[in-house]
Order: sequence, then C-alpha cells, then structure tokens
Amino acid sequence: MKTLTNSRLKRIQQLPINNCQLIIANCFYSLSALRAPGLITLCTFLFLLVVSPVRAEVTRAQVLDVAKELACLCGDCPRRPLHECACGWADKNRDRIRTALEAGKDKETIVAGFVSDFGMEAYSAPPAEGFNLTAWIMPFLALALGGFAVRGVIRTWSTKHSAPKPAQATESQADDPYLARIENELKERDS
Amino acid sequence: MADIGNFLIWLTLVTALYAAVSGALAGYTRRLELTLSAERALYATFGMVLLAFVMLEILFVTDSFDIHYVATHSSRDLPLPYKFTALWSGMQGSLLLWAFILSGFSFFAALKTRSFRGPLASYAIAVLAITQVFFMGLIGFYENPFEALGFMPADGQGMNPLLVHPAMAIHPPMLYLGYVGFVVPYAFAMAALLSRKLDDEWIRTTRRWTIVPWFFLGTGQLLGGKWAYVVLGWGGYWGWDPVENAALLPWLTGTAFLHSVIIQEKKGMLKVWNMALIILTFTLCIYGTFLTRSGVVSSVHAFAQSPIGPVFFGFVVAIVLFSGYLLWTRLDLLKSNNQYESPVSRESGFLLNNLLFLGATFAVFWGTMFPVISEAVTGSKITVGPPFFNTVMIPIGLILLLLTGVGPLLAWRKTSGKSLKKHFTGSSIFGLLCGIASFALGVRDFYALVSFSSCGFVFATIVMEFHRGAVARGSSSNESYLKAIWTLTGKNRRRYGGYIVHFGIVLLFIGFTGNAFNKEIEAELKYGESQEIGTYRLAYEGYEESQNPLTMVIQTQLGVYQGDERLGTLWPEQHIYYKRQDQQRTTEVAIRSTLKEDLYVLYEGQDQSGTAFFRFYLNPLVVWVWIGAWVLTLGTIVTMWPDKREQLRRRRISGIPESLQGELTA
Repeated sequence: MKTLTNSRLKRIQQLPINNCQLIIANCFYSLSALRAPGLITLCTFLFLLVVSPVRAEVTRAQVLDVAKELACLCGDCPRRPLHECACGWADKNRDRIRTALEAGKDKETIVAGFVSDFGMEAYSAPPAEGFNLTAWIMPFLALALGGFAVRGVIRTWSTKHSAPKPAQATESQADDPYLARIENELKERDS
Repeated sequence: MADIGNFLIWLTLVTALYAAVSGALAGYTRRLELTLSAERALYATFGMVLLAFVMLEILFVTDSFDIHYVATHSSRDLPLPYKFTALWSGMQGSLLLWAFILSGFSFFAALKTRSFRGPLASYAIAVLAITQVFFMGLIGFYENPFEALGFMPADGQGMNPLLVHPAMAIHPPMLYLGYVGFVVPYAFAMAALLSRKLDDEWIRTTRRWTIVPWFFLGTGQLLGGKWAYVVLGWGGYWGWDPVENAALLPWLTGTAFLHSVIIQEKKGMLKVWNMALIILTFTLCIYGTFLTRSGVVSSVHAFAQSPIGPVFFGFVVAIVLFSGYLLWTRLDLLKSNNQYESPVSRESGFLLNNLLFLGATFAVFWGTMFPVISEAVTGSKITVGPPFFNTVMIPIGLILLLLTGVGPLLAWRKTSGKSLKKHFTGSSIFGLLCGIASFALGVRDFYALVSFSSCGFVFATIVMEFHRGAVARGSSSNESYLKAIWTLTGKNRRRYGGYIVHFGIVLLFIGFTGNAFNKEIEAELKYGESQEIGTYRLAYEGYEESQNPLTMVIQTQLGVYQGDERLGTLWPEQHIYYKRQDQQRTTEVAIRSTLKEDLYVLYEGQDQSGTAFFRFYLNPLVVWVWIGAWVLTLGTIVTMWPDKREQLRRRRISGIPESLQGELTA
C-alpha cells in the first residue's frame, strides 16, 4: 500500500484543509493504489464532498478575537488594536488571520506568526512575562504603596493630634440633621 | 513684516528676561518701583507677542509663501478660516500660540497682583516671566516661524487635510489654554515658597486660575475626542495615544489638586502635599509638551521630530530641581495646623481621592513611557495600546466614580454610622436598582454593570443633596422648591457648581460605558442592496461625485431603516485632495446620533464593478459624552461665577483698603 510521498503531502498541506481532511486524503490516495478507475473516481467524489463542507467556516468574530491580541503597525494609526483599526494595513492583516484560521491554525500559532514577522511590537499590549510583567504590576504596586503611605499619614495625624475634642463639634455637621446644617450655612452667608 | 515679527520675538525675549530679573529683585528687596517695572515689562511682553501673533496671521492670510512656515502649512486654495487656524498646525506656529497664551495669562495675572503688590506678587511675576523667557528662547533659537525662504514659491504645500475641520480649529487653543494656564497657580506657589508667605493666600488667589486651565484642559481633550470621532473614522473618540495621555496626566493631577486644596482652605492641612501637587501638575504640562514635540514616543498626533526635545527635557528637569529644592527648604514652614479624628471623614475621602488620582496618573505615565523603558532594558520595542490602559484604568476610574458620590456625603472630622446609614441608604438602593435594571436589559459585562450602578448611586447622591438643601431653604424662607434650589446654588456656587460638575462626570461615564457594547460590521454593497446592524438596516441608494477647488468629493447615499420604517438618510463621503502630490484621501463619516446610540457609517471606496465598501458601527451612549461635556462646562461656570458676598467677606478678612477693593475679584 502506497502512502503519500513528501512532495505530494506538501502539495496537499498547502490546501486550506485541516488535519482530519488530510487523513481522509491520505486514505483516498492509498486506495488509489488498487488501480481501479471506478473506485478512484468514487474516492475523488467523496473527497471533494468531504472537503467542501468540513472546511472551517471562519466567522468575523473569530477573526476579531485573534486580531484583538495584535496591534495595527501601519505607522499612521495610534497603535490601535488590530480588531478595531479601519486602515488598509489592518484590513490586509485581518485577511491574513482569516486565511490562517481557515487553514486550521489556532490563535496562539497565528499570534506567534505575527510576532515572528514584526517583533514584540505586534502584541497590542505587553505580554505578561519577563520584564514586560512589570508593565502590569507597577500601576497596582504603586497604588498599594500609595495606600500604605496614606495609612501612615493618617496614623501620624491621629497620634499627633490626639487631644480629645468635644463630641458635639464632630457630629454637628453630619449627624446633626442635615437640614440644620444647610440652614446654618445659609444664615451665615446671609448675615 | 517677517523682519518685524522676527525682531519682536527677540525683543520679547529680552523684555521677559528683564521682567524676570526685576521681579525677582523686587521680591527680594521689596522695592515697589522694581515691582512696577516688572509688571510693566510683563504687559509689554504680552503686547509684543500679540503683535507677532497678528503678523504671522497676516502672513498666512496674504499667502506670503516666501516665509518657510507659511509655505509648508498653507496654500492659496485653503479656505480663509483655515488660513487663520493654519498658524497652529505646525511646530513653530503652535509654539508661538503657546507663548501668546502664556503672555496673556501673565498679563492678566499681573493685573490682578496690583491689588496686593508685595513679595508674593513680585516673585510670581518673575516665575511667569522666566517661563516666557524659555518659550521665546525656544522660538528664537530653534523654531522661528518668521524664517524666510529667500524666494517666493507659486503656491504653498497646504495644510494637512485631517486638520481642515472646525473642531481642530478650536481644540488646540483650548488645550493650550489648559496646558499654559497652570503656570499661574504654579507661579504663585513658587512665589509663596520664595517669599516664605506660606499661608493660604496663594491658594485663595489662584483658585479660579486653577479651575480655568483644568476646565480648558478637560474640554480641550473632549473636543479632540470629538475631532477624532468625526474625522479619523475609526469609530472611537479616545485611543490612549501618547499625546492624548500627555494631556490627561496634568488634568488628573490638577483634579487631585482642586480637591486637596479644599482641605487646606477648610482645615489647614496638606500644605506640603498641595505644593507638591501643583509642582507636579505644571511639570506634567511641560512634560506633555515635550512628549508631543520630541519624538520620544511615536504618536499619530506628534509634531515632526525636532531638536528642541533635549531643551524641553532640560526645562522639565530644571523645574523639578528648582521647585523641589524650594519645597525642601521650606518644609518647616508648611506644618499642618489642624487635627484629624476619624478615618470615616471627609478628610479621608479626599486623601483616597488624591491617592486614586495619583495612581491613575502613574498608570497612564507608566503605560505611555513603557515602550521607551522596555526598549532601553530589553532592546526590543513593545506596543502599549488600549488593552493595557483599559485593563488598568477601568477599575481605578470606577472607584473614583464611586468616590464622587461618597465624598460629599462624609462630614469633616468624623462621620457616624447613623449618619452613614441615613445618607447612603437611599442612594445605594437606587444604584443597586440601576444595576438590576441594566442586567434585566441584557447587560452582562461586569464593569458595565458596576459602572451603571455607580452612576445611579452618584446621581442619586447629587439629587439628594440638592433636594435636602432646597427643603431646608424652603422651610426657612418660604421659597418655592425651584426658587430654593436656585438661591441655594447661587449662594453656594462652589459647592453646588461642584455637584453639577460631578453630574457631568456621571454622564461622561455613562458614555464611556457604552464602549463595552460597540458593534462593527464591514459591508460590500451594490446599488439597492442593504445590510443590517443591530436593529437598523442600511440600504445603498446612490453615489455622486463632485469637485471643488480643494477636493474631489465622492458622496454615497444610504437609507436608514428600522423594520419597514425609514428613519432617514446618511451621506458618508470620501474626499480626495487631488492637488496634493500624495493624493491624500480623507473620510467624512455620517452619524445618526440618538440618546441611545450612534449609527456611524464610513465609506471606504468602491471597486470597478460598482460594489461600495462600507464600515458600519453601532456605538451605544456616545452622545452622553458630549452632553456630559456641556454639563461639566455649566458646572464650571457656576463654580467660577463671581460671588459678591464672598468678595466682601474676603475683603473684611484681609482688610484691603476701600480704594483697591474694586480690583479684587479672585
């Protein structure tokens, strides 16, 4: 029984078909070794029948899902994510994603392809690894440190000014009925 | 005329230098005649820059293409209004606009200081003048718009077609009013440090001078967003571009400053912090200008790369060192003189507000500069785009929104549990109901649900504040409800104007939240075909070409239907600037805007078979961004409206002589 030669395999792999279809094609070619013209015709018919409906129907949502991981690098747009940008470069590369999806490639492989072609700039945001992890951590770290600093300031204030004050002074503006507060304010201003 | 303009640039530089030196000497020696001389030099500076500005405008209007800047930014066929605005469409002219606005602010600030001449005013004049010296030097030595070509070309290269838009005519001057305006509170802060007059006078004097640039910086950005939305044709109004971020940074710290000065005024606290904040805000203003003009970060808005980058950076460093040194040496004079009682108080609310604004500032700064930092460390370029900023900024923004509702309900010094329950129950229930209603209407995005709930909560707190005030007023003066609201607002403009600003922010957030539900579709339509998006159906009904002296206009016609009902017609266009060598094309989007959503249509061209290519966007709630901007404007006007009672009160306190009282309005 003959199996596909490397060159034939390569030729078939260039078709936009997935691995399942490749296995079917391989079987069909093996059957063709029987040299029965009727059977070959039948197999060809079956193969075409199988290829057409099984070929992945790629939706726009799938394309955009991959595109949002990538940035538009046309140079004219302000590095918009590829799924949003309306320029020609973005259109062309969304088509590239569609073609890759139709060829059965997954999201990671497609994104890796872009990174291999355009470098790390191809990502729409820094990948959370290595030094680029700091891009994501630093803003929240700064907020946390700021929070500790504010807590420290509050503690200092509290201990520095611990002299007790009459309770009425503190509560008068909030607990005391709000209306009285407003009235007082207005009276003060009217006087 | 160009020679005179050139001469004026240098004369202004010398005059500003004189004003700086005499102002500083006046502050140091306390000699009145030096103060007067510095004041007059500053007035003269304004007059000369104004004259230079007018001359450059005349050169543009008269098509004086022998001037390099005019030849590269205008053309004979440019419509007259855009010949005026072409002045700030490039590096040199925009720097002159910067200098002009700066001299205008300095002029009016100097006028104000006549009512309290002394070391504070003199040093403030000196700081204003030094800033003017820097910009005039920059123009004179590096970017002179009056530079002659030596010959007269037949026509100019024209203005970038993307800038030929009414929003672009207003957006840069408004943004510059914001950037430049912060120089006044900064100058007075430095003057307070230099003169060691560190009471609250500098804050009270500059309160309005802070609100004005804050307002212009904010609305300038929104106008820029409107321009991007209508002109750039990518369906959005904010792209987290480095130049947009550069304007956002001082706005964020400026907002923190506007809030934290209230603590200093009311409680005498946070004196050092307020100094640090205004220094940071002004530094970020200059830093933003540096970022736009240095080519450090790549941006769609950036000016051409220029040698002024290092000079600008030097100025930023000088500001930080000078201000930092002054602040450090005056720390002992900036002691807080009030007390703190409870973490559940308005003081804490303001501290949290400041923490979040500073956190947001750092996040934006870090994201903007990260490509440069990453390249320096790892050697590879990286993109930091909207996904990063949205991930980091949305949670911070939502907490800030929530705080907008919580803060005003907290009492100074201490808020009891009873008070919290009383003031928050109703608003919280309303916020929760808004969240439930959003969920029932199909909203499933977590942040969108939090945002709508928070918007409901803040809206309810604002309404309750007005309501309680009106009831109190009505019961004490027998005024009608509406009259009571009017009087209440009129008598406490700062507070109630602030609430209106907060309401504007709520509307802005409603608009921002709509982004979570944007839809987009590409359509290839032949004549008579239609495409659905959301509940709309758009039918391709026509195509027409026309030509004017500047462009070839391709206009398409689309009928808008909802079911069988025709709602209207949209005419998206494409303009081809056929006289330009690059045949630049621009899109004129067509927008059908309702309170619920924008139907946004972009025409991208057509093929030889007559198939037209469109891009349809359905952008929910966008219009609330623009309505929010108007409400914010109204709130700012209410806050700033002169209050005669307040003026009289201040005069009584400060004991200003009767003869000078008419001049004090700040």
